[in-house]
Amino acid sequence: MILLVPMSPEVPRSRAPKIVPALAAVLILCIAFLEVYDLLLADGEYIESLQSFVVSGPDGRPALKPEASGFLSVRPLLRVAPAKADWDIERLILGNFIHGSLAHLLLNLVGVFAGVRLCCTFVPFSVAACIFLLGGSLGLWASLMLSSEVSGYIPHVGASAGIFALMGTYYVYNFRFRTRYFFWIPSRRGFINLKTSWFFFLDVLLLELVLSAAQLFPEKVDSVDHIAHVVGFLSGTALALGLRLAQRWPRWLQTRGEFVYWKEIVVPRHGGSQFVSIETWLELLEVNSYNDLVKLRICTTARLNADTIPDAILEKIFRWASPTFVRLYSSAVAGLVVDLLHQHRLLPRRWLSSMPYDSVILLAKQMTSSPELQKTMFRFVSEYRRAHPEGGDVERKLELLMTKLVGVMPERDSGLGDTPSSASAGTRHRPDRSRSRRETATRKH
Amino acid sequence: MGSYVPTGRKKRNSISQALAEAERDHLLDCPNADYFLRAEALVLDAILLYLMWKGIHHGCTLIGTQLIPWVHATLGIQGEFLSSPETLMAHVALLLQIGVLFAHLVWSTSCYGGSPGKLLLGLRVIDIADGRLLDLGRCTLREIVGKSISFGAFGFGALLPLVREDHRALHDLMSQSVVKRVHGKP
Repeated sequence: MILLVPMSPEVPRSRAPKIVPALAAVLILCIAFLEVYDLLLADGEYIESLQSFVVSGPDGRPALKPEASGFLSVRPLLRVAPAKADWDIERLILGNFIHGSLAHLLLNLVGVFAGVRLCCTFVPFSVAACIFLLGGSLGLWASLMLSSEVSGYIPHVGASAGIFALMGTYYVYNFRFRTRYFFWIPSRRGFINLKTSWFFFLDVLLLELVLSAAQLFPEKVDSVDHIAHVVGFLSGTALALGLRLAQRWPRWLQTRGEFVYWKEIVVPRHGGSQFVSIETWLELLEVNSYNDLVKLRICTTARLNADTIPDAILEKIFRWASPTFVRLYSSAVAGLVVDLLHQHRLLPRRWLSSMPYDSVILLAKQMTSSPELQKTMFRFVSEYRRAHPEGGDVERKLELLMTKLVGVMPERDSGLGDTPSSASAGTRHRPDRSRSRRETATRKH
Repeated sequence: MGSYVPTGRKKRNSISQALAEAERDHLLDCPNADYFLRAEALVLDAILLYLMWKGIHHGCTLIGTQLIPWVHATLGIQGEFLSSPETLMAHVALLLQIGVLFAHLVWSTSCYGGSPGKLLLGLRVIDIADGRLLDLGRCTLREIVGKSISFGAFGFGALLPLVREDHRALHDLMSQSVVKRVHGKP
């Protein structure tokens, strides 16, 4: 959280987190603070008047005189806030909206704003509010039960347990996908997109749990309620997992928009079956073009139907195979390319011409396990070369690559079009662009 | 992109080797990372290392001051090492911290071509002659010895990329390496 601030799940602009629900949550906290502000002032004055009851304990830590408990039990803030020795459910819920100072409020406003804004990508505002309240209240309750303090009448307040519950919710919904983080890196204009799971360890385990763990014991206690944070996070995670289970949220869907599309259109169309058509998967990608899990499903389905997919659909499939996707899931894309080439299909020229050279090397490296695959790889590189204009930087590199491959490829005719002998180093093989798929297939037979 | 033309290489005997060589040629052809990008990676690494360093310290302190005494008292387990658990855990923490430092800077550069900060920003550390990743010995020379000298000499070695045309620092020169920008927009 401190190192890299999650700005948004990696989704299209139309699916990006909205600001209105987050502002509403901020407004509610501000109003609540103003409502109890007089009470806070009165409580502060009251506590000030009890300073004479504070003494130094035998171990050097502050302790209270025995008669102080009676006075503390009637402190004004306990009318709305829970304490270990005096709490009820109503005050547990109210405790989420109360903040001890303006600084405490401002810090939590940032957290609430970010948490509600991010979570509303996946759940409606009302659900996010319920998770905030339930998770926050459970966190406060756990901190009341588990913490050890000088007096049982110290109120536990603040929205941080609820914020951590929202954080848990975000991780449940976006764990398999990427997050857009804000960092001060000028070369990336302040943003960097990374897999959410990579930073789960750093954000949650290291920063929040390990660093906080050293303060869970009485000797280390500070004014921050770490137990509430940890329990709030766990509660939010459990609530979100339960909600996903109840919703039957498929694990390959990222945003609420996709889920609604799935529930309302895809499920009725396919009768609840998970084996949906490529066209339907492509429609889902229109909702969220960053969903790599849907792209993986498209690769799998396309491989099964490599010989029957219409060229127009093939063009659409490869439109989504971005360099980032190729880099992250090169084996899936390579598998699809191999199956298509085995079926004598032509790869979309636009995709080939837009693919960076290093991505092609990455794909080619996935096609080296058997001599048959190596021939397919050679044909793939040849097609890639054809898609690039002569004289460019990529062309120069490709020529070098072809030279290298020709030196090690078997000289047998693969029957798949180009062979090393027909594309020898330095002589650019001019393809017959009118050659149809049928002709290629006929030559094979 | 540069205009790197590979020199004579030893004979290849497999497709994988040919592709690996092509990849290395491509890496050598990528532009050298400029000073500011490298500085960003350095700060990112410093933050990551600080967090891990503090995490290990807190975790070990917690075990030394709370968990081991609790085990000692509750379960009645006796042992020489339990007599001063805080000192024991301080040593364990130091070992772990050195291990993390080594893995973060040296091992990561040797196996993946850069520390996590560099990899996140799309930078790769490679051999300037043939584009290969550096072996463990040269990584140690670069990351431990070279950087100590680079930063120890009033940071002169680390500021070298500002004035050199090829953006190489003193530790790059010492280890015959170069930092390339592989991904990301210029």
